Amino acid sequence: MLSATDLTLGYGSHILCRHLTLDIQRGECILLCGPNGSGKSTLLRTLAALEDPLEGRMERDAEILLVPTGIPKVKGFSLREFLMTGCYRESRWSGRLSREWQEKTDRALSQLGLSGLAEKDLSTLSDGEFQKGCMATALVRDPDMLLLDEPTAFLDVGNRVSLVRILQQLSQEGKTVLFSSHDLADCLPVCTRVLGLDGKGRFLDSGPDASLPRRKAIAKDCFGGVDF
Amino acid sequence: MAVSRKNRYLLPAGLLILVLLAFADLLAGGQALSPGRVLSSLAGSDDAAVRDIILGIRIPRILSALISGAALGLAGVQMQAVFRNPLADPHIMGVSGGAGLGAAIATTFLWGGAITSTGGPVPMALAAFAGAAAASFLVIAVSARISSASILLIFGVMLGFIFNAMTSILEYSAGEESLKLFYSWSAGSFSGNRYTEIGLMGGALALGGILAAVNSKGLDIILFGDDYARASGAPVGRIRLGAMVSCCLITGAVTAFCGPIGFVGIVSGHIARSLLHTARHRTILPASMVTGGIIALTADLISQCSVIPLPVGSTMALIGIPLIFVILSRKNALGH
Repeated sequence: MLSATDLTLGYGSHILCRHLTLDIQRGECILLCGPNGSGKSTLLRTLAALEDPLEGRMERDAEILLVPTGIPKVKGFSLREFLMTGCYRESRWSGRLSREWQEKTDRALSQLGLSGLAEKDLSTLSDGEFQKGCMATALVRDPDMLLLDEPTAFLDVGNRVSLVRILQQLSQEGKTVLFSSHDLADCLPVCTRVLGLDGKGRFLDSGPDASLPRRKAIAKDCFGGVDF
Repeated sequence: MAVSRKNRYLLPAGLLILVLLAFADLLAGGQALSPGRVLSSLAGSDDAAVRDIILGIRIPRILSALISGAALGLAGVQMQAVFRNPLADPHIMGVSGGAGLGAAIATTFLWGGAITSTGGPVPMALAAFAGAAAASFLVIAVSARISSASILLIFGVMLGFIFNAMTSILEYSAGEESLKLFYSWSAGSFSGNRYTEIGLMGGALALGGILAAVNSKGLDIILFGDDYARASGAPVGRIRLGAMVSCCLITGAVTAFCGPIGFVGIVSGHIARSLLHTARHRTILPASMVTGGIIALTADLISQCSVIPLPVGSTMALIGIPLIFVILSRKNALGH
């Protein structure tokens, strides 16, 4: 589905990670962890083809969509209209969607339990509802692989657990999910694989279908052996 | 649904206000005219003096105000989306200053005159467009390196100061008569334009409007951030370029013939957003043209009715600044 060989990530002379080799298969639920500034967002952006690696080779044979972090809740857009903006290539010049795409929008909203909020202004949604809305913008286009940058950031415990369960469910339905998060306690039990960047240029990988102790060990190694 | 039903009446209401304001503006001016005389002159009466005033002075002035207001409203909304900043408009971001300097350089060095149409209206508009484009290029180049909206805004304001300072230097080197013309141009005015200049402004507005309309879904998506837009397959660079070309065209034409006019660009979009409860550009672009036209006509009407000579640029500031304070005091301007 996606493979990366000997990638070097960074900006100009600032290297974040070297010799990153990765092979991702369909249906995996992968947690990407690491300290702030270790290159998690850069890796996700590179895998989504929004950024080029400094070195290395990438091969993709699936539709991969990234849900970035920090999307603003723009006042004056309903949740449905927000989802419509995400269908940029599929909409007409005026932004209108065909009936087929309107149905896809409804399906994505219903899949995440957001149908009742479709006409609400984004500024009135809670952070948890909005984060699910951001995921829905990607689900409308039914990608094979979903990349999410910090989807649990700023969410309370209830919303965090609910969102992580949705990610788990999506992967059980056959979608590949790769997401970054600092909420290790909520995310480690549900993922099947852990990738880590330790902030010193090292890339760690538990491998597919890793046991919970193995996943925990990789996460711990990322943070210099700190217990959590 | 209730909102959309309300919205259906707002556009006709806005257009009706425009018509009423335009008619009131027809009556106002150096010589007061009664509604009956204006109406009979419009119906084709043989009162040549009144007809000359209406067709030669007032209708061109009203059309200039309408087109300028609509154009600057359109430019302001686009710049607010491009820079994701509720205070962005051609005046604040230095684009009007660039247009003014372009026009000043051309008229001073190429035609040896002041800011008038000595070189012909088309070269004058092109010079202003070039100045606006140069300013936009600088702002876009800096915005690629500075992500902070407030620092970018400060850069735009500083750029405007530099352009205005350079225009002032040209003013100093101008003769007495030219200086007077320079001054009246820089104060902003809808008076004195002929139908050729109005046609050019209208043409620029039509072109800029088409560009903006084609770009409307792009303007929507860039409000949610570059990463979101790129991840959704939107060509962010092309969207920004299209919006800035549209802004340069309309700001260049309006500044060349009416002088630098501020504030209308900032407030038009905010008024449209708060009345229509939407930020979608498909709706807000035309609505901001209507609100911009209303503000410009109101400013012109106040200037014409004033007992002391009141430049329209100053009137616009007097109307616009309190509105900007209201915008600043409200949370979530432009959704942020």
